[in-house]
Amino acid sequence: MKYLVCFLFFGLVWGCRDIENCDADTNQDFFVLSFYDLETTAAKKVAFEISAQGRVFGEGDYAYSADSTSVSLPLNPESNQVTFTLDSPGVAVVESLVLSYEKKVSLFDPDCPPSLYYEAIDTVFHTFDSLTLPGRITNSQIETNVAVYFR
Amino acid sequence: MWRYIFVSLFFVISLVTQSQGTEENINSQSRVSKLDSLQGKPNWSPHELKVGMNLLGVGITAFNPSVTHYELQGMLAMHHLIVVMDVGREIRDRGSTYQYRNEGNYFRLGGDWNFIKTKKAGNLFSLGLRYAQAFFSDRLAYTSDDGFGTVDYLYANNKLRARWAEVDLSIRGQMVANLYMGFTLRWQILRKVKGEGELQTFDVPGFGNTKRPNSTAFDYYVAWRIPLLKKKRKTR
Repeated sequence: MKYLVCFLFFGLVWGCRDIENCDADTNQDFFVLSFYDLETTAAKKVAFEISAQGRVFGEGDYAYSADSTSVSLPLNPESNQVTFTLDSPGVAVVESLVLSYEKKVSLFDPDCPPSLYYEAIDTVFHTFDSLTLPGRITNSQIETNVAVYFR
Repeated sequence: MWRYIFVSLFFVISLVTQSQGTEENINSQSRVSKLDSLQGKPNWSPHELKVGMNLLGVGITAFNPSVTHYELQGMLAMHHLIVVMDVGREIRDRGSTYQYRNEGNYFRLGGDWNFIKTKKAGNLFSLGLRYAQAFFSDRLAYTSDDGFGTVDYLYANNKLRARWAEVDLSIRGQMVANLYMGFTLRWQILRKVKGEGELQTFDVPGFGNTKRPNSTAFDYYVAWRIPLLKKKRKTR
């Protein structure tokens, strides 16, 4: 009897694994850039063509439209710094934003792919009128990582 | 949550069946000499050593090609106090779309209090504390496009160190002669890992995965008892 109980014990402990939903992982491999009017502080529609290291963003995972007031952008995982160029079509205005960050990777669950995220996001250089960093970690629970203000 | 309910339920059932066997051994020795009894004036001389191994680790190693786990245990009994030391090695591979390997060594050291009054049968029902440390490394390799093109990632932590504490409940029952078997239920707390770089470690040898700071674990042991006290010869 006691041997049977022991075998059942093993089976139940082994069988009752936690099953994780990979979508519950809050880590993100991109940051959120939001635009605001300098004088009214109201959200401002995106009017830039955003590029970094020869890649132009605005399609696929990083899509945004002319009605967007914020964009999701990747950070370069092979470096700890990235330079974004924000070009206004038809207007001779080119803004620059240089960010530094620390990269981290973890396993949310063995059945999920590795989870890449960034922390300690900071500005190295920018040409906007003003800039704040409401959230320095790339996480789905943080609405905005970088907020830029301009006229 | 259901996992812990099932584990607790079957722990209780197993406890009852094990203690029934233990009680039978106790009752069969109704006349216990002063030397054999743990009552009366304490005798702190070590009276037995149990040397064993973790059967659960052996079983996992045999049936899971991704895991290698070996652990040896020594239990030195002095009166009601049992000094316990575990040493083990664990290698674990994870992932299908990535490759994660974690390997290292660990030890646990602590003391248990045996609540069984007689020591002649060598049975054990104890509660105790442990301090544990692990020395290990891990590595993660995978390929992904995270916005700047496809990258082959390789992360590694070469010198990881972890420590934690445990509250352990143990049962060992005599099977035949000096062979003993039984389990240990562990409540693992106060885990801390040092030496992580960009890669956040997922496993700690001897502890389990790092999804939660505290954890519970179950191990099953087989051990051989070595009596240390010489029996007094009867004088004619």
